[in-house]
Formats: sequence, structure tokens, C-alpha cells
Amino acid sequence: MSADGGEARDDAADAPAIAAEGLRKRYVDGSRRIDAVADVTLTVPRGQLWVLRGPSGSGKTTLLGMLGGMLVPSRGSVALMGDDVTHLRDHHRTEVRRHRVGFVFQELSLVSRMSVRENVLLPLVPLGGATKAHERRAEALLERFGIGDRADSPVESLSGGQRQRAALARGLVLDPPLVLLDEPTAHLDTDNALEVVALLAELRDDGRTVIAATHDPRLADDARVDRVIRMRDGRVEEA
Amino acid sequence: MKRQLALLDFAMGSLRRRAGKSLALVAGLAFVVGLFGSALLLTDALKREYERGTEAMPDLTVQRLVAGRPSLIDAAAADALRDIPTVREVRPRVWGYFFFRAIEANVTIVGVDAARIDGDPGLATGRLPRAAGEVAIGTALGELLGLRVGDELGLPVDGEMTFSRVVGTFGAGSALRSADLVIATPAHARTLLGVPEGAATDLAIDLTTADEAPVVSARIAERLEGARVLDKRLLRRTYELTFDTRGGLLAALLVPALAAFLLLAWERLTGLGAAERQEIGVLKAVGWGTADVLAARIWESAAIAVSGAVLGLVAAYLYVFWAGAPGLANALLGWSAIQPPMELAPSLDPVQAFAILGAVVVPFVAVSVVPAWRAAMIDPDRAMRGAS
Amino acid sequence: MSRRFVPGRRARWALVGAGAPFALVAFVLIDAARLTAARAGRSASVARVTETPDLALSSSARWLRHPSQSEAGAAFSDLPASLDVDPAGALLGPPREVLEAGAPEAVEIRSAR
Repeated sequence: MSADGGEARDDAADAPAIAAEGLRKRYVDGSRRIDAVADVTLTVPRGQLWVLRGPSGSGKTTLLGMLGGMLVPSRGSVALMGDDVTHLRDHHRTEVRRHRVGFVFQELSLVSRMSVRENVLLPLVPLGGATKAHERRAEALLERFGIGDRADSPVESLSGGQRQRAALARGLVLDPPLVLLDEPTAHLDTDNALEVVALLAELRDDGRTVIAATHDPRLADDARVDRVIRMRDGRVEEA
Repeated sequence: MKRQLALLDFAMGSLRRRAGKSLALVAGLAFVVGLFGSALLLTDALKREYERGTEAMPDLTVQRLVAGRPSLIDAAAADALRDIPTVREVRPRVWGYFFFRAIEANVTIVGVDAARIDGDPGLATGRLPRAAGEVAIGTALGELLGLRVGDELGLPVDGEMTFSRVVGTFGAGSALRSADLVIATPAHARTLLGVPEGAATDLAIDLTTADEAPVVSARIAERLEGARVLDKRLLRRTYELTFDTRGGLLAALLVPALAAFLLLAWERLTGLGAAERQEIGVLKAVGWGTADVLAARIWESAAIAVSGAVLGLVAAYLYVFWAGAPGLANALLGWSAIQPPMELAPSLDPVQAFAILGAVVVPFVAVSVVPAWRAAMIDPDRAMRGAS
Repeated sequence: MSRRFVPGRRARWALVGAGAPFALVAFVLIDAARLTAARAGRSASVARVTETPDLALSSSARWLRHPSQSEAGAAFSDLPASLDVDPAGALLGPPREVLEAGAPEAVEIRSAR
């Protein structure tokens, strides 16, 4: 569904989408040391829909952040499409994140007092602003997610489900091969939740790798999910 | 370039989204810059005005001290000084202050030899006095007493009214300098001030080489018992010191206002709100680098700082030079009875203007960027979880 | 808020708007030059006549009065029983040389012993 963003595809075609090895994230809180994520090794093949499942505080969000190159692991390494991003400098990691990863984080949703369209085009600002092609793509995404008519509304006027879909549109505007989502179905009623799950499956069918962290059975137990990883206390318990 | 334009565009959007805060900061900045700018412009212009005046002073002024006080000097003493090398001219002068009961103010009576003045004497009407019984007067005096050219002004001298015909008036344009002036011939000034024949207020000495002033001063001190010799350059330095001190005091009075604003600004800028922190987290998550976040922030605060500083500067300028600094001038000038309009010549040049602006804009931008930088450098995870 | 997002429109405004501060500063500088030209000359002419830098403000503000008219040793040089209203006068002295001018070269001391 895209003509642009092709630069993200020119990597070793056989490398897995994500190869994480011995990942640990340790926070120091006063004298206490907390391992939010302890020793996680994962290999996610391309074109699959995976779910990280676990109660809140189990380290899902932190793991997701490290997988997407947003957090620097305390130990271990992450390779995206065969390229190690663990030891990149901030500047280069930003590049990788920008073109290969679409983040849809619950807590980092939309910028308030801005229109939906401006929010969706936000990733393009450091690239010099949106071109006509980008604008068309943003419109197409909003249309596809059923909020095309709300493009110029301020985000405050959107319902929870609409916000979630707007955030998803923003995550896809640069056409990343990898999409990471944190609690994409939180605060949604069943209709909206199922709609989001269907969207995630569609994205997977487009050829993208989709990983969602959730404790919502409506998503985790869905038949279209390729694999569920269970997490507890920062460790993977297996599917 | 394209990236910076896009970031600038975003920054303008941010300003708009936070319109209340933005406007408050611009207004606060304009107020503080206006206060300090007014004090600076006013003292600077006064100082420059005095500098122009010191140019007209003789190189050396010789007074006689009696009992440690300036006293009348023997006019004949001038003859004893004329043969000192590099002395071009020695002029006994008669001038002094005269308290006018009618207007409850001191006026300055100056004896001037009209023949000595070449070029424009700065009169608005009439001419300089050439004979005894003639005077030229300043605007304020003319207005307060209702005097015009041709009228006569009677002053009590030795218990008798001595009348002087007004032959010239100074205009409003030079009021700052001429408002309280009474110019007469040296002889007539002597009569009005009650200076005895053969005495003078001081001796004005012009030198062929101004650099010789210290040497000549020493020679004069040798020849005239009890003479105090004042060097033009020393007097100029005294003025400079006085104004720097005054200006500094005035600025010091404003320090609380500045401190209050800085405190407020610091609180507003460093106490990055949860919403802004979260916004930075969003930007980082959607692929903005730290440099992008900072660039947008710099645009944003530069726009605020430049607007505020320029508005403040313009306000200060209009207040001092168009409105005559009402209020501030009083604080600076004391209880003067004659208050001529403060029509000062601005001493503002581009370098000074941009120095003032730079002194405001640079620290302001720096201060506002620090918290954004800290928020952007933090593990995005912290920003991310800030709200959860 | 329902504006259509046109990329760079606000940036263009900002760039056009950036001219405004420059225009304002330019206005101030040009007006300053105009006022200086109009005011400084007249004032300087009068100063050439009087040969003093005194402004007409000096009659009451002692600190503006011609410094040659000071009585360095007098405690109340404004008026009888006047306090020094200007704290700077107490904190900052004049250049030493001004006070030294007119002082005798040397003082001789003869001890009684």
C-alpha cells in the first residue's frame, strides 16, 4: 500500500524482523535495583502478528521499548532486519526508529490541542514536513481506519477508539515494516477492540511484522494472532 | 533548511497551542526590558548630553579657594598666567546663581561676551546682549514670567530695582539646557550678581595643546596662592562617574522586578509541565531525535524572547524620547522647580540596541532549552511512563 | 481549530513575522537618529555660549550641578541642615585628583622635641 518508504526494505531479506538476545533493563531506585526486563531472548520472523501477554508491571512495555530501539538495554542486544541497533548513537537510532518502526503507545498517544491530521503528520516534521504524497497517504490511512471525516477535528473531540485508530495511522504514516503497540485495545468497548484486532491482522497481511503488548484476552486470544509470549516479572514464560 | 522550516512551523503551532503562556511570557519580558531599557536610555542620553556640554568647557578652570570654599578671584590674576607656554587665552568669567522668589527657583546668570561667540548661539528669537542692561533669557523663565523680546525684567540689586531689556530668547528646542538661563554682558552680569569690579567667578583658560593641562595646572598653582585648577577632563570624568552611579542605582531599584520575572520565567520554563513532558515523549516515539526536539524548542523560545525584547525596547524608547520619561525623570532629577521638557537626544546606536536585545534573548533561550533538553535526553521510557 | 494543515504555512508566517522585530528596531534607530539630529545641535549651540555643561535641571539636583561649584569640605552643601539625599555620594568618591586640585604641595611638620 505504499510507494514511498522503500528505503526501509533494502536489507538482508532473510534476516528476521527482530532478533533480541539476552535483553535486560535494570532501573536503580534508591538502593533498590529493579530488573524490569531480565534476560529475554526472542526471534520474531517477518510478517507475523505476535502478542506479549502479561499483567501490568510484567515488563511488556519496557521490552517493547527495547525491541523498537527506543530504550537502550542495560545488557544484551537487539537487531532489526539484521542490523544491530543496540550500540548505535542516539542520532542513528532515531533514524532506524523513524523508518523501520511504528510505535503506537498508549501513554504516548496524541498531542492535544492539535488536529488529527497534524498529529498523523507529526513524524514527518523532522524530515522537512509533509509532501502532497504524504498528505494523501495520511488521508488514505484515516479513511481506511474510518475516521477520514475527523481529520481536521481537534483530538479532544475524538472517542477512545478513534484516538487509538488515529495513533495507529500516525504509526503507519512512514510505512514502517515493523509496528509495535502497547495496549492497543485498552479502554475500548468490545466493538472497537475487535475492530483494532482486525486492523492489526490486516497490517500483518500487508506483510508487516506486528507486536502488541496487552493483557486483554480479546486481543491475546484472537485466532489471527500467530504467537503469544507470556511475561511475568520481566521474564518470558513461554506461550 | 527544509527540516528547520518544518520545525519552525511546528514551533509556531506550539506557541499557538500554548497561547496563554506564550503571551504572558512575551508581556513579562517586554515589561522587564522596558523598565531596564528606560533607565538605560535615559541615563545614557543625559550622560551624552553632558558630554556634549563638556566639549564647550574651557580646558582649565581656575578658582580661588578661601577657607576651603570657592570664592571670587582677582580678575587681574589672569595677566599673571598669560605667559605660561601653551596657554592661548585666559578669560575672567562672571557667572552664578540667582534665586528668583517669584518662581521659587534658581536661575543661572552668565556673563557672555557676544563678540567671542562665532556661529549660531542657539537663540530662537532676537540676539545676544551687547550692551549693559540687555539680557537673553531661557524659555521656562520667559514663560513663567511672561517675558518676550522688548520687555524689561527688574531684579533687585543693592536694594534697588535694576531693569534689563530682553533682547533674545532661547527656544523650546534647547530648553533642557537653556530653560533657566539669563545671559548678559560680563559687565551687566557683574551688576546683577553683585560681583565687585575687578573680581571674577573664575578664570577660563584655553590651551593650544590640551595634553599639557597637567603641566599648566602645576604652573598655575605655583603662581596663584590658593588657586584650585580644574581640568576639563577631570570634570568630565566626574560627570561620567556620577551618571554611572545614578544609572546603576536606578537599575538597582529595578532589580526586584527583574528577579521576580526571572523567578517566574524559571518556574514556568524549567518546571516543564506533565503535558509538555509527555509531548516530548510522543515526539521521540514518533521518530524525532533529541536535536529535533531542541531545535523546535529553540525556535519557540526565540520567537518569544525576540518579540518580548523588541516590544520592550520600543516601549522604552517611546517612553523616554517621545513621552519625556514621566515618573522616571522625576526620580532621577529630584525636586527641581524648573522642569523643562525632557527632550533628550537619543544616544541609541545599532550596536547598543542589539546588545540590549542579545542580553535578553540569549539567556532566555538558553534557560528555556535546558529543561527540554533534559526531558529529551531522559530515557524515553521515563517520559513514556510519566503519565502512567 | 478546524484548519487545513498546509505544511509550512505557519513557518512562512513566522519568517514574514520575523521582519516585524527588525522593522521595529530599524524604526527606533532611524527615529533616534532623527531626534538626535534635531535636538543635539541646538543644545550644543547653547553650551558654546555658556561654556558649562550644566543643564537647566541643575538648580535643584545638586548632583547635576557644575562640579566646579562644589565645596568639598562642606557637610551640608545643598542647604543648611540638608542630608545627603544621594547615597551614592557617600559610597563613591569623586576622582582623587579633583579633590587634590588646589591643595598645597606639602605640609611641613616640626616636632617640639
